[in-house]
Amino acid sequence: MLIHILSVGIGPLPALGALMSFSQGIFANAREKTFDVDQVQLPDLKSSVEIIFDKNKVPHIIAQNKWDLYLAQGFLMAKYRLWQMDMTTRAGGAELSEVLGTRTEKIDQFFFQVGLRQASKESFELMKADEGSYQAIKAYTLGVNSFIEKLTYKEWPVEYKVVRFKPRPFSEDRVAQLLKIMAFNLAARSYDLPLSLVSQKLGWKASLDLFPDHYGPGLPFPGFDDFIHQSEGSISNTKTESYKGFSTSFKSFPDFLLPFQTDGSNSWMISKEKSKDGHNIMSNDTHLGLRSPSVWFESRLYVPGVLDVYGASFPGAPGVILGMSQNLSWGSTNGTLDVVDWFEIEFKSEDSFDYLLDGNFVSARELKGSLLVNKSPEQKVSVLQTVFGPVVHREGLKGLAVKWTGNEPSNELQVFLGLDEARSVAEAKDILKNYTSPIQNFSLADKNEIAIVTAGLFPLKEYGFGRVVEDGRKTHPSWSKMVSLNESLTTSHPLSGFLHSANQRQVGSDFFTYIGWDFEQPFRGLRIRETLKSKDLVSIEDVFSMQNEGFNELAHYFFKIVDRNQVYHSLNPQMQKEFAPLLEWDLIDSPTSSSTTLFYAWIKEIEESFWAKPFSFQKKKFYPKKSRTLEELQNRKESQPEKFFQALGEDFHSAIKNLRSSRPDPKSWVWGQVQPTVFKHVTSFPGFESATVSPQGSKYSLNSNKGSHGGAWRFVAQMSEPPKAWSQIPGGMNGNPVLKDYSENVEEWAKGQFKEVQFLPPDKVRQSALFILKLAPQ
Amino acid sequence: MIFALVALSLLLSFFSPWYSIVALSAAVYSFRKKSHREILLTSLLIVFSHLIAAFALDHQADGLISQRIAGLFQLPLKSLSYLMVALIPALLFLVTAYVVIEGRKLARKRERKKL
Repeated sequence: MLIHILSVGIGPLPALGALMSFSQGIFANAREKTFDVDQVQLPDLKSSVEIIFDKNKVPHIIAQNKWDLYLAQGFLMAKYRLWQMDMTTRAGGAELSEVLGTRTEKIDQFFFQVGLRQASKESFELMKADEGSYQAIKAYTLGVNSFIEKLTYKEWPVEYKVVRFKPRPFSEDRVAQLLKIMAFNLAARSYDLPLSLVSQKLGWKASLDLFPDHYGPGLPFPGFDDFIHQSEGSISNTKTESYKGFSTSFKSFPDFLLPFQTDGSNSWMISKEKSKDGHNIMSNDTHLGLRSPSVWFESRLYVPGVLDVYGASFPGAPGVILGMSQNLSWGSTNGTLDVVDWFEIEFKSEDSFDYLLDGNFVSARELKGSLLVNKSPEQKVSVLQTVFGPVVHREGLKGLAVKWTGNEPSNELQVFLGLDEARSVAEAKDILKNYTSPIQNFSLADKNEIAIVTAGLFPLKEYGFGRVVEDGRKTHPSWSKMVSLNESLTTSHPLSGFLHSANQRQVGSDFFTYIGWDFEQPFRGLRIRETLKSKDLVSIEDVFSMQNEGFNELAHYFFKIVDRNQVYHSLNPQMQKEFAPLLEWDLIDSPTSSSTTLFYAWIKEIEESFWAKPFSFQKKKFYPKKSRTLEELQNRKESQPEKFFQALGEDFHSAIKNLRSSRPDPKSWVWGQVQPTVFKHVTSFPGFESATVSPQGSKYSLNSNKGSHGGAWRFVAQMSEPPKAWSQIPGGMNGNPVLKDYSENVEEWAKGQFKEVQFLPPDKVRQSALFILKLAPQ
Repeated sequence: MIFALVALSLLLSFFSPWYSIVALSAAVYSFRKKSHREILLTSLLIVFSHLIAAFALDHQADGLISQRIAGLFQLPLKSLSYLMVALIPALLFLVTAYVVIEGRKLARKRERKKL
C-alpha cells in the first residue's frame, strides 16, 4: 500500500516516491540542460531545419518551407514550454480540471457556460477551411506531438510529475482554444452588472454622472480625454443621457460574474520626420499578467525568400503575433470597447427552456457537453443558448445571458500569419480587415508610414446601450449588425509626427455607434502625448526611457488640483512630518521611496470619504474611476474652499493610521516592499514563482507595474535599412522551474535594460550563436 | 551489512522504481535479521545518506529543488525538503522491515497455537 501511495499519490498529495526520486523525479528535471542534444530526427519534416540560438538565447528557426518552419516551431515550444501551452490551451476548451482536478472545476464550468469551448470549436472549423491556417496548425501540432511522444516519465516537465498526469497528445483544435482564451482575457471586460445595481440604488442620473463616458467636461484640463484617433473629438456626455436604462429585477449577482478584468498596453510610433535618426520608430509594451514562464516566447521564423519575421508568439499557436519583418513592424494595445452585454431573460417556468421574446415564448437551444475532473467519471454539463448568447445564471424565472463578440467564430490565426508576411503598412491594413476579436489598436510602421488601426468586429449600438443589463424580453436594434471598425478607426501620417495608444478611448461622442464608457483612463496616454509633444526630435534612447518611466501621471493631475503646501499647512506638526515625503516627491514611483505608498493610501482614503456612504449598499466595492474622483475634488475645492484642505488633511491622517496598523514599521512603506513584482507560476503552484523584483512604476505610470501585471513584451523597432530592434521579456525561454534559466532576464527587465535584437542575416547570427540544434527528417 | 544496505538504498534511488526496490531489500534483509535496533540504525543511516545526496544535488541546482518542494508542501524551511526526501526511503525501509518481522512473529505464534 505504501508503495502504491508513493507511486500514485493520495488525495491532493502528489506521488511523493516518484516525484522525489533522484533518478526520475524533480532531481532529474534539475539535471536537464537548456541546450542538450544538437540533432533530432522528426518523422514529418520534409527537409532539414536549423535552429540557431543567438547570443540572447533567442531561437532563429531556419527552414526551407513553411510546413517545416511551423513543425519546428511546435517542437521547440513543446520542448521549452509544454506545461504552459497545455494549460493555456486547455483553459479555452474548459479542460483544465482533467489535469488540475477540483481546484479548476468551477473555472471549467464557467468557461463552458460562457461559450468558450463552443466558440473554439466553431473557430477551428473556420481555420480548417483556410488552407494556409490549417497547414500551419497541422505542422505545428505534429511538431508538438513529436516531442510529447518521445517523453519518458523522467523527462516529463516537473509540473506533470507534481499532478501525476501523463502529457496527452496536443490536438489541432487547441490552437483555436488558445486564441479564444486570449480573446477572453483581453475582451471580456464588463462592469454592466455592478453598474446595474448602482443605477437601481442611486438612480439612472447619478449612475451617468458618476460613471460618465467622458471625464473632460468636469475637469479644468483641456484635452484630458485623449482619444487615439481624434485630437478634437466631441466630449459631450449628453448623448447618453437620453438613453433610458433597463431596470433589472436581479437584486444581486453571483460573485463569479463580477466583473471580468482585462489587460492593457502602451504603444507609440514616431514618424521619420520626428525621429532623431530619420527612421520611423514603433514602440510597444504589452501589459499582461507577469507569469513564469513568460506569456510570450521570443523567436525568429525564417524561410528564405518567403518569410522572415522576428517577435513574440504565444506558446500554443504557430507564427509570430507581434514583432517585425524586414519591412514592417507591428504592435498592439487592447481596444477595450464594450463588446460584452448582458441580458435579463424571462423563462416560462423555473426549469423551462422556453423564454419570452417579443411577446412569444421561444425555445432556447440546449448545448450539452462534459467535463473531466481528474480521473472521476465524466461530468455532464449543459448551457442554454438564446438569441442573446448563453445563459450563465438562473434564478427563479429569470436568467442572465451574455453576448460578446469573442463567441463569434473567427480565424485570427490567418491574420497573424498574414502579418508575418506583410511587407508594408498598406498590406497590413488589408490583412487586418479580416480581424475579428479581441478588438486591438494595431500599431504599424514601415519605412515610410506609421499608422494605428483599431481592428475587429463591433456590434452597432444605440447611445448608452449595454451600460447596464438589458431587457432580454425583446429584440433590440443594437447588436443587430456587426461592423468592422478598421476603416473608420485608422489614423496615418499624423501632423504631430507621432501616434499613440494606451487603451484609452478611440473616439469622442460624435462617433456613429456607442462604444461604451469603461475605457482605461487617459493618464498613460496623456503622458505619452505630452512627452512626445515636448520633444522636437525623438531618439531611441528617449523611447527606452519612456518605456521604463515611473512618472505617476495620476499624481501629476491630482496635484494640479490639490496644492501640496496648503495641505501641509492644514496638518498638525506630527502629520506634517509624515506628509514631508509628499512635499518633495518628484512624482516618480520609485521602489525605494515611500511617497507612492503615501499617495495611494491617501487617495484611497479620499475615495472612501467621497464614495463609501453613497455606495454602502455594495458587497464588493465598485467606485467611480480616479478621473471622476479628480472631478469631485475639483468640485469640492470650488464649492467648499474653506473645508477642502482640512478634509484632505483628515483623509491623510486616516491613511497614516491605516498604514501604521497594516505596516507598523514605516521603513516597510517603501513602494518596492508595498508592491513587489512577483512572477507567479503559470498555474500558481506555490513556490514555483521565478523571482520577486522591485522595478519603478505603478498603475498610472508608463511602466505600468501592478505587482503581478505589467510589461510582458517590450519592443522597440527602428525601420532603418536594415531594421534594428530592441526587446525585453521578463523570464527565460526555458519554462523548467528547477533550472536557473527559468528566471533569466527578470533582473534586467526590472532595471529597464533592453537587449539588442539579433535580426541579422542568418550567417551572421550563426557566427555568434550559443548553440545550434539541427532537426532532420526521419 | 548495514553499510552495504545503506549504499544499496542510495544507489537504488537512482533507478526506477527505486522505492519498490528499497522496500524489497528491507523485506529480504529483515527476513534474516530480527534486530529492531539494527533496522532503526539502518533507517537512520538511510536518512543521513539521503540528506547528504539531496543537499548535494540541490546545491548543484542552485537551491531550486528545495525551493520548489518547500513551496509546494508549504514547508517553513527550505532545508526541510531534504528531510522529506530522506524520510521517504527510510520510513519505507523501517515500515517494511517492521511489518515483515512482526508478521513473521505472528505467523510463528499461530503455527505454535495450531500445534
